[in-house]
Amino acid sequence: MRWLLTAVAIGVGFVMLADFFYRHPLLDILGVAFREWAIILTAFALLVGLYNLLHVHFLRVLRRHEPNAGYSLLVLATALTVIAIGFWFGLGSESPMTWIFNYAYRPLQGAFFALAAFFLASAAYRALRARSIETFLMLIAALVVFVGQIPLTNTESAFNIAAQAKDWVLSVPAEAGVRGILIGVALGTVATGLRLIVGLDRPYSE
Amino acid sequence: MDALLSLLRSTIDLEQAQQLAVFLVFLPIFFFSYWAVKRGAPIHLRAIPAYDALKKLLAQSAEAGQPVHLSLGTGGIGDAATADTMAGLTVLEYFADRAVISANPPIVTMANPTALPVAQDILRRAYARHGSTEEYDPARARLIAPNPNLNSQGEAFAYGAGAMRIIAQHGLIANVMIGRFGDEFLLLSETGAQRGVQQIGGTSSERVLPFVRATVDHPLIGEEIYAGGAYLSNKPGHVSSLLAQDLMRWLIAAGLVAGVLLKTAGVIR
Repeated sequence: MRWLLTAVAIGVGFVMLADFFYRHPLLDILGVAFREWAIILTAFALLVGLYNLLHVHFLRVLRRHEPNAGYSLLVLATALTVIAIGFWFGLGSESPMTWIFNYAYRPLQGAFFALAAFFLASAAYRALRARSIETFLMLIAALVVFVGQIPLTNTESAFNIAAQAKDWVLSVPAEAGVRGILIGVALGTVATGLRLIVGLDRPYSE
Repeated sequence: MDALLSLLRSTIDLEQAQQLAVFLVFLPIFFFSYWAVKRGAPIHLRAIPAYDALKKLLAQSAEAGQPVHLSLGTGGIGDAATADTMAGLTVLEYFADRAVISANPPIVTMANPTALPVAQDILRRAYARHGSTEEYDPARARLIAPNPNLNSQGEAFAYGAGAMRIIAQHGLIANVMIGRFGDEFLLLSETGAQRGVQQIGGTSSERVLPFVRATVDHPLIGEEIYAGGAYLSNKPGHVSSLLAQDLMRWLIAAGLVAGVLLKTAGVIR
């Protein structure tokens, strides 16, 4: 059985790789089919995920003395209500689902995004207290970019040296560092993919 | 010749040809490295403190009776972040194998449902290897909240909110975050830092790396996250791919220097 899993993974991997590099009618058909299968599998994975979510919170509600089990009850009630609304009214642009998404989910997401600013300030303060050379350099760079970004120091004002310093930081040391990281990440991604395609890495079997 | 070029152009475009050329250079280096590692060539891996800390974590977790939280981030299997998710799953494999003995398996969270069955399977197989399948609890791997568009791009603040609660309330010994992350990384890592939880984290997303550096005790920067299999489990495939990446990096660096020199000398335009 193990050889079959490995053979399927290697076969599909090579077909997708060939389809990426080479235009051929047969490869195109296979590539499209495999991508559609992946979408179908993702939909089933979402169902497994939904079951997992409900299962975890249901257990928390059932167990006695579980701290903050009320939140789990709220998660269960919300999930079941939204699922029921989705099944009943459908997913059109005028449906209650769209309303829930636009007026409940998005504002909550926005609130968390706003929270990130405070977390950032607290992280910067902690980094400053760490007193290492790396964090010191990072904070200096952040300060230069921050000052160079404000309207008073934009390129038309008398204080445009700050804007020039910001441009230099972003386009020379930051850009150089990012490119180095991106080359490394690209090589790491290729190596990971290659290990999977040739069967050296088999997360799907022993 | 023109007919051949025309045939080539109809089957492969210039960008694909460039990528294929790089891939074809990488391929023999990769297999040579694998052959060298299998033959027992001495490979020296530079120390990465985050992996040393990861190795010590499980003993600390068993001693303290407190679990480790492992976040796989927002990436899944089959999307652009698959390599990042695989990096997190490699760490999970290491954790699962050792933590099942201590009766303190890690709590694994993710924002992408495609990573859930794989994470659950890794945990289940670890229990099966130790002959205690009945103790496997599928609820140790949890989907917190998927991104609405089911991809790994964009912020997953709903996931961040759920994972923050786990970090804050589960009495963890450590918070490990390896995978693809957006700005929600900051929410998770700051919550851990404020609770005094030991933190190890890394991602390949360059936009998030400043958060990693500023908030995590042991950061993994960029491609370091892909080195887990080599450092933690010493798998030949992983060690050889690390060697191949280093050789390829030297080639690219030499190409860059040669390009700069040739351009400066006016040999190329």
